[in-house]
Amino acid sequence: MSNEIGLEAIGVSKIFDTPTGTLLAVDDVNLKVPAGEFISVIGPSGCGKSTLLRMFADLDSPTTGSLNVANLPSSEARIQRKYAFVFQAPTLLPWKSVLKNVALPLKIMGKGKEEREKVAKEMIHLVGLEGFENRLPWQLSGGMQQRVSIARALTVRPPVLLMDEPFGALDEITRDRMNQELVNLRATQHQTVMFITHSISEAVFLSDRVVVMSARPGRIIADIEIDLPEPRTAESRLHPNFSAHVTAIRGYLVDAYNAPQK
Amino acid sequence: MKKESKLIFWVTRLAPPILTFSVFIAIWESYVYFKDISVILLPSPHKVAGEFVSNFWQLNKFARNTLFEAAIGLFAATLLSLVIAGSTYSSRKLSGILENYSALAKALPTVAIYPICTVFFGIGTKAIVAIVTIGIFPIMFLYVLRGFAGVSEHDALMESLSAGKKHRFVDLVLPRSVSYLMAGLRASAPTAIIITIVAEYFGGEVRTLGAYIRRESSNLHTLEMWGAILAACVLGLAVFGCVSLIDRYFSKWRPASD
Repeated sequence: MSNEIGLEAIGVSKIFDTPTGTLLAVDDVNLKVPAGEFISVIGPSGCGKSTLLRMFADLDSPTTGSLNVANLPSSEARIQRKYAFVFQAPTLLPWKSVLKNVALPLKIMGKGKEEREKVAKEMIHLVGLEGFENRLPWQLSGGMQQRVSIARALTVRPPVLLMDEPFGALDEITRDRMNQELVNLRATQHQTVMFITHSISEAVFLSDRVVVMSARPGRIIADIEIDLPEPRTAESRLHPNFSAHVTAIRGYLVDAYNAPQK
Repeated sequence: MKKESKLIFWVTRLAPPILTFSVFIAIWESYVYFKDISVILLPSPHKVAGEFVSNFWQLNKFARNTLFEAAIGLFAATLLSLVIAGSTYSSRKLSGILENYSALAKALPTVAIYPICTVFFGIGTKAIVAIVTIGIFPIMFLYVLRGFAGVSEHDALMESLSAGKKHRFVDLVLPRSVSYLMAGLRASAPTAIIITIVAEYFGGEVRTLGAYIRRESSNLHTLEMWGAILAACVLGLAVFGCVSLIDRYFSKWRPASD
């Protein structure tokens, strides 16, 4: 891993205005993720995980503090397309074929048809969906749709991937398979990844580090290095360190859930 | 099983309107027959159908002229709606003002617009097209604006991709609005035919359905008038059918169950 910064949050807080008053969603978050690291963020529902991710993506702005993505302020990183965002729902454009959905970021960047179709086909191959290029999104299963959205995110070869519970709506078996595919993809792509999840085992299996957030207002209450042998495979889940990490994170989460929300 | 359920679907869908229409025709036919109503007052349905068939080619010619005027007016209103809604939808204040004006303009009767249009365009096709455009624009505009102003998670996707205005409009806003545009066309197309015929009735080209209805009505040619009314109904239904086919073409990206 290089010394470059993949993601950085400095004193980040976020206050939302609601009809009943203000709501502190994220409170003084400081986080540094070296380039190439896979970090998962886990915490109780409503703790501000997704808000933090959206602030990194410049889709929301922080009330205080600053965020950097690939050594740039998050707003500049968005304009320079230094990250790709994978949403909880696949957010495919239903009127476009798989090929055109995957090629969309390149189209927006002004690349020619030939080039964008060539890259899109490579990415579709990478996520194992060859033969489905001309299908429309509704003709695919939920897992396949999410693979298309990951392929779309990879087309611009961004240095940073921001993933907001991308496998949250999938069944357990498909989810495990997608986890393995993401591990395999990362072995070839080497991006910095910030991954939001509710699944402890998913976070431990995928990550180099797991950050645990408290119940609202979201603060970082634990930052755990995951030392599992590489490459990660199905057997990694049977490694003694795996269950030790799962148990430790579960302990932090139980404390977070039991703490009174503000 | 699949074939059977399809049959049941069509029977349950088509049977009620066919039955209602048949009952209506039967009552009409019986009333004229048993009350011995004169053809000048109210011709029986079978006589109207006979007149429609025997005068088909003339009615067909008039209907095509009427369709031409209605289609040009509908096209102009749709284009105008797309341009104005397209340039104002991002400003909530401006689009809100136009939305209110359009809602008010929907209540404007054709007869009120007619004298104004004839002052500017004279009596003829130009005036009829202008009346249809003015009458249809508020309906189309409201549908198109609602489509353009729609929000989905795809907007956040476009934001994250740092997409410019052009790409947002062409790749997201416009295709996302197709269902609204089609709903607008389904509502507007038959209305455009009605407005055209009413405007022609007050004074338009001689070889149009509206003018023919006026002429035959003032000459007490009730049967010929009813034949033209039937032709107007057929024209309205044909236009609605065409719009539904276009809608089906543009909706192929939606699952069949939608």
